[in-house]
Amino acid sequence: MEDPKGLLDQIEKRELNPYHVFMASFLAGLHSMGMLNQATVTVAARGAGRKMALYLQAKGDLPPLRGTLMEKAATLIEHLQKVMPLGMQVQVEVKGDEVEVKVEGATCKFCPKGVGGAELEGTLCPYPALLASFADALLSSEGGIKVKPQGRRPLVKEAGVCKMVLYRVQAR
Amino acid sequence: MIEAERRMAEILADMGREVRGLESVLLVDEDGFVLSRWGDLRVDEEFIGGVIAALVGMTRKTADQLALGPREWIGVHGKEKRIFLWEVTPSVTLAAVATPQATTGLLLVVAPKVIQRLKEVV
Repeated sequence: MEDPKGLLDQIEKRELNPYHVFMASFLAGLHSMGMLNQATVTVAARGAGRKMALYLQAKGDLPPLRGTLMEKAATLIEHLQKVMPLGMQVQVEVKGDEVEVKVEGATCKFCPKGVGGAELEGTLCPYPALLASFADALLSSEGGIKVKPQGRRPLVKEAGVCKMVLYRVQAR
Repeated sequence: MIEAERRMAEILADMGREVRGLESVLLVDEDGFVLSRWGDLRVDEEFIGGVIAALVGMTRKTADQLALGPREWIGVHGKEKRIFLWEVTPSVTLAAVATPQATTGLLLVVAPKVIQRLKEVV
């Protein structure tokens, strides 16, 4: 069994609740069986993003939106971060037709590696697809929002910070 | 790496001509991202790539559990030769998909000839 002291450190540093530990370790468990990789996480996270959009719509818990499509997307992502904190330090920045989201890796609450203990070199991050499909679902009448690949991957980790970029696509 | 990928794509195309009914092939890495392609899958490549990598991942774990030996000898194919998967290196997986509707009646097979052929270009 994992060292409880080590987990306690993570609980305090990341302010984890039981749901975070459950979800992160559940993802890690699926990965340990070979079932889960970044691409499958991405596909599943798309559905989760749409569901979160539906959840907030159903609850009537959406913020007022102003500005460009990407400014609205950024507002929605910041709101999601308030409702369901992804990490202790999350930065959302609009850059033209893109939104850049940075999550301090050591503070991420759902990380299958850092919290769940998954043994892998790459990533199993649901956030890029989650955020893109969440914003896309709520703004679909104004245009589409997708994840901009960082190389082949949906995110890149630089100096401990996980960076993902969403961009605007043509309205459907 | 790009050159190796290109050559692997050529070999994939050769394999495609050799295997009756093969419409398209994908080369994916262990995270399910498409490295190279031949033909038009007409499906969500991220989805099918992820599933292919997961199939290989599960096969690898199964092989480990059964102590079947070096994982590079492990291949998978489905019923009626609809899916072909070969692990080329620990980080690169070769996948050939006959139809997007392929079923996954998995068998573990040994395919040293194919692996040897692919090793020459990786």
